Amino acid sequence: MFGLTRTPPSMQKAWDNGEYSDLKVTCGSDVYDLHKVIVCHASSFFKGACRFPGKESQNSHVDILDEDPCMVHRMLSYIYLSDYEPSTIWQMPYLSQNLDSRGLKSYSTTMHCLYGREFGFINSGCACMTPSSDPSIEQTTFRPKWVPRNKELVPMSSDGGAQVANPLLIHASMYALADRYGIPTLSEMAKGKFFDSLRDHWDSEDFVEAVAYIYSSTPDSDRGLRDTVIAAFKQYMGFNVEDVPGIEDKLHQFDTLTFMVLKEWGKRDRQRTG
Amino acid sequence: MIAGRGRQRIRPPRRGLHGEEIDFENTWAVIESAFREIHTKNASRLSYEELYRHAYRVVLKKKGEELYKRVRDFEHGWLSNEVRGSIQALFSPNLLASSQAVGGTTANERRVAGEKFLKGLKQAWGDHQICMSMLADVLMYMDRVYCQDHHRPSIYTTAMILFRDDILNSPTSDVDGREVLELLNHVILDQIQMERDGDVIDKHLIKSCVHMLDSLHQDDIEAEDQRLYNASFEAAYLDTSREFYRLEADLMLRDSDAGAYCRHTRRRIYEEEERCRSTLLDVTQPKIQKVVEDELIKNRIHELVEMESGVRFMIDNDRLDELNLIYDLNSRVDDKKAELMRAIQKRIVEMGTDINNAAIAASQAPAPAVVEASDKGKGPLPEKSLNQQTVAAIKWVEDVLALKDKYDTIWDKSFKQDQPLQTALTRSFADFINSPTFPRSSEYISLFIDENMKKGIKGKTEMEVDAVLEKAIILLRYVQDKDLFERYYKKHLCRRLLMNKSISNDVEKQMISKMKIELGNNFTLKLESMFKDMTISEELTSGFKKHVEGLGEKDPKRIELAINVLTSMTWPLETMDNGDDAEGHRPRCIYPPAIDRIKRGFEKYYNEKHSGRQLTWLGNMGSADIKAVFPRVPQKDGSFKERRHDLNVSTYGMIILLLFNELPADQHLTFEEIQAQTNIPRTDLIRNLQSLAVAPKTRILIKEPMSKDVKPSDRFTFNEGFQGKFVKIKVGVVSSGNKVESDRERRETEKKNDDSRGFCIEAAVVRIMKQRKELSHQQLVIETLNQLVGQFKPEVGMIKKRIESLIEREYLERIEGARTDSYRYLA
Repeated sequence: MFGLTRTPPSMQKAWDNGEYSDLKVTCGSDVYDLHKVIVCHASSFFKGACRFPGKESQNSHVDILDEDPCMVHRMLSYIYLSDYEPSTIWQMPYLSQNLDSRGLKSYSTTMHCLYGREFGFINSGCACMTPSSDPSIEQTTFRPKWVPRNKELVPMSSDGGAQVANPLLIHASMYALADRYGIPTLSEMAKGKFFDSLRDHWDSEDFVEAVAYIYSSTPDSDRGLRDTVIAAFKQYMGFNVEDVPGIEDKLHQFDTLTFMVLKEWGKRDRQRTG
Repeated sequence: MIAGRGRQRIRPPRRGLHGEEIDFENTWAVIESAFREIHTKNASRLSYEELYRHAYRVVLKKKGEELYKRVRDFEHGWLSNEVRGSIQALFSPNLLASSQAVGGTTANERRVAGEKFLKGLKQAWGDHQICMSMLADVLMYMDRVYCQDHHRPSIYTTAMILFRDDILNSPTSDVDGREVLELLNHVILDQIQMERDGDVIDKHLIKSCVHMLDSLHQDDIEAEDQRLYNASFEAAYLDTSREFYRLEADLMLRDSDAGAYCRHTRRRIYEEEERCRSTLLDVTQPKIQKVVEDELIKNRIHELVEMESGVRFMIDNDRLDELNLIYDLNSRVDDKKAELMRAIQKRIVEMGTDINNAAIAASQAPAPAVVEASDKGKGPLPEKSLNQQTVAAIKWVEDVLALKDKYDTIWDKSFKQDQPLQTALTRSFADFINSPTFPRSSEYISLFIDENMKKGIKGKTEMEVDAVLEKAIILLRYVQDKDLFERYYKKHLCRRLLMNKSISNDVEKQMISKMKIELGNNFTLKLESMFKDMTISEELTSGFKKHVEGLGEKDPKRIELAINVLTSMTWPLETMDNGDDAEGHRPRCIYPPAIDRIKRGFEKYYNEKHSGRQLTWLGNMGSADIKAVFPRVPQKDGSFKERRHDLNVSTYGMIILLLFNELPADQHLTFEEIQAQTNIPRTDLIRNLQSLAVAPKTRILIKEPMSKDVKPSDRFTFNEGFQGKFVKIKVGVVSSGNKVESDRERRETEKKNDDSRGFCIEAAVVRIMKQRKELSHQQLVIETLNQLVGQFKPEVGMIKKRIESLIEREYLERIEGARTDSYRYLA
């Protein structure tokens, strides 16, 4: 995930102001002046809404009910800007111009983002950074356990960015949203960001919530994030989900207790075999 | 641009949609009522977002299958209750009546009823499509997730199949219980038939229905060739069309002429092509075209070509357009255009044979006169009849060329310069030109050239001359026995050169170079060396003249000698002999001393230049200019005058006349005396005496008794009272110049030709065997034929004989014990 995504100036302008807008999208109290040619090509839902001769196409107004406005904002910003926050630290200079610092995220109290002198970038691919210039945010940096002890680490400047507390849940939500509104490229991006954020965030409440969410927000046949989760269980906790028949069907009820049990179980397993 | 306020926290997503059960029945009720609105065209009040969200929720809650089934049931119900009724309302008696093959209704009534039905069906189909695409938009998530995961056809496809099952496959109120689909097919076919009969029909309407049939499949496998259009409609369409065109062909062959038939057929083909574009589908085009072509052309082309107004009529009347039509039609069904080709070839051979027969008739008509004349040995009459034969020959050439022009025009204008047809034309021309019943083509062509070289090209421009030569070359291409032509051409050329009959040497050479291009170097080698001999002879003559002048003493009585030295193998000298003495040596004729002296002078001169060459003098071919003085005798006007004439006589004539120079005026010589003193061959002598003593205008000698024939006992005296109108008198010798051969001459020519063919064959066989060493008989014959193809086509029997002869002479031997007859070359 070291590739940088830069927005074409024309798309930036289209997102920034409502000129030439021919489609209004509202969600909660948010109002977006958008463009059919852009959103209909990106999303089959919008295409259907504009084609179907109902209220929406007559008024050129799509009102999205029953959806988290923050997530809708992320989705629409992706349609125009090809990225959404949280993203990697490298995207911060670009995203910060585009997204106002209007809250919509909970900041982490710690910061894992580090710079390794001897072996280049360490976890700069982790998609947990959001643009923020709020000086009131204090995040203490710590040395991730997976970094070899003999490596010197230098904290990276967090200028223009801060870590969010729940990147995994946000990416999981984004994944489900992309599925629901028919935006295949966004599904791919959300899945990628989810995967990239696992290494530093799997051992958290965020992971627990994300797993439960994943298993209830998309159809069973959708293996995308499900496979990613199962791989994470195996890699980080040494727990093979397939070993326990029927457990995957219950993952929509995954909670902190289960998480801790599984984590310890895996540890013990490793000690025994190790 | 975003308006609105910022938020503080991400809301944790609502925990587990699973927990929150949805009420399927209520949700479906919402969706169903919306669908009803859509079908009754009231969609404008619906919220797409809401419907989409409901459908999404249902699918996410694993109720996709239930939803799918409900939608299908809903559509099924709608189609069979609402739509089917409206379709059935269209069944009118006129419509159903038309289904019986013989309708009691008028075409117009049927057309109106049919259009009403088609319109209704088109409307129902169109509405169904629009509604279903709206439903499909609402159910997009179901299609994407449920249908894909469970390998179901999309809801749109399913609904289209329902239309087929619930509408098209529903029975009509008909007694025979046909389905709507059959009725539809029938109505379309009926409308098309009306158009074929000249009515105007609503093509767009039919096309819409055709599109419907094309978008539906016969079964649920949806194989490409199982579309209702192909499987149900098209087959019926092709069948009825086949029947229709079969009957139409019958009718037209009976009632119209071939040209009209062709034009009509072409129009039908265009019509059907256009119909596929405007009314049906393009995929049908090649199929229906084949039906039309089969029924109107392929199965009928023979009859069509053979019609009284068919190809023969078209050719005879130069109906280029119609021939072009027939060509076009025939080439549609047959790359080879066999029928047309056959008819054309037949007609060429017929017309060519007519020309041949006309030439034979023209040359035979005066034939008795020839026999009679030569019996009596009289001058003018045979001369004239022979001329008639030459005229026949030239007419033959002109006729053949005219025929060729005619067919060239047809080929160019009507047959699009079709290559195979050109080959066929060429073959047919060759067929009649080389026909065994007409052996004279080589001779005629050569005579044609001869005539033009001597007279025809006089006063013509270079271009015109070239055109004439080109014509000859064109015909020459067809001639199979090129060797025979060469023989005739040499003979004719020989006479032209020696007697100075050619108008232009340049044109002669032009002809030779044309033949060289056409027939190759070998062919013209001898002809060219004939020209070379002529040039050398001119040099010799002038060289000799200078030589004589150089001798000093000027003899006033000196005889000037112009001489042609001919290489014996190059010139067809034997053809210059007029017969009897051909078998023996050429008798040496005795020249008068004055002539003999100059002859020996030249021999000496020549031997100095070219030692070791033998000169043979051909007295029968030369001519001499002599000044003759006739004594004073009383003239008609009573005056006495000495008369001088310049006589141009043959060399033999000169020798004869010189005898009388030394003879006292009252003496005579008998025929036998003349023969003894001159040793001129008997036939030549008779001819020369005929022209000197019998022909009225050149009677320089008096024969006793006076009769037309010359007998050995006849006596001759100098005609002192000879009177001539002109100073210069040419004493013609009977039968000089190029004429058509008599049958006897012809047989000789052919015999000689066969002899030389024998050599050619032997040479070819030896060449082949020398290279191949061993070869089977069959193979050898084939290779021999190949080698000789440019010269002539030998008979196989002749090749066999030549091989036998070669074996006898131990050039070849048979390989003993070989499975097939084989030969080995003996070095």
